[in-house]
Amino acid sequence: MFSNDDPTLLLATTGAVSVPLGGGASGALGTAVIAFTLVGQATMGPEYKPVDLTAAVQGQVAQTGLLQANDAGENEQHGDGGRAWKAAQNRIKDLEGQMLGLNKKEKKAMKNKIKRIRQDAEKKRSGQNYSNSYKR
Amino acid sequence: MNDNQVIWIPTKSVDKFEYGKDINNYLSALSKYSFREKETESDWDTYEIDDGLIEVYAGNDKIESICCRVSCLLNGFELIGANFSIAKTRELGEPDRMDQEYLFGSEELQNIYEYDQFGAQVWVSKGEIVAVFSSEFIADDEV
Repeated sequence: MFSNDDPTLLLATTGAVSVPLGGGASGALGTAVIAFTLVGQATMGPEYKPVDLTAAVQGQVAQTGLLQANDAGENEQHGDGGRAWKAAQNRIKDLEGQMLGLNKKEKKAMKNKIKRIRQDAEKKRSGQNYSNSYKR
Repeated sequence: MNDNQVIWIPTKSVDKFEYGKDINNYLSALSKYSFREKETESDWDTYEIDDGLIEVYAGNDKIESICCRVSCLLNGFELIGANFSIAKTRELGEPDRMDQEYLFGSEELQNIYEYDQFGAQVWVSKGEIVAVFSSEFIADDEV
């Protein structure tokens, strides 16, 4: 807090401001809270010490998770296994619905197809690395 | 022949597994397998043998279908990884039906070729055979 008791005393205060990220008044990507430091002398009035906003935003973003990339890193698995799994489940339901009225041969062919779709999606969901795995 | 090669005898067997037999006859002799129970009524139980070398599908313990994705030797010709056109010329002949299916995990459309006389479904990606599903022979009029 500021004090007028000693005009030579270097004063400092800290606070926080909210900064919208990603444009727009509310910020498409949310809001980062940026800490700041205000320093000054009581006689001369406060003056603002430059703060490295980029570093501040990065620091806050790192803490809050805002703007962090969700895609896989260089050595991580790629893609969204959950989304593939859901799409595969929908397709399987669709194929199961088509099995009514099929003869034995057609049913077996359909079941094989369902197995293939399911095993492929499971492989993705479990994060098996295609290039390192001998499974196809 | 190495340990990862699997012999397919159409409408009869894949490796030691014979279509139509009780899966329990084989389990005690297996050194490595995993079991996954069927997820829906129309599904089969899955037995993954030797880390996926073979997948055996059973309904009420009876072997209904077998999938090979690593090796599938037909008359000494390795189907998995083979160019489909060459495999057709060498061993398979013309399929009875052709279909396609999009695989969401692999994010690709694969071709499916069905062979009634072999009781087989051959999956092809970019011209290469990637999986063979096989079972016993089923006549057209079987319900």
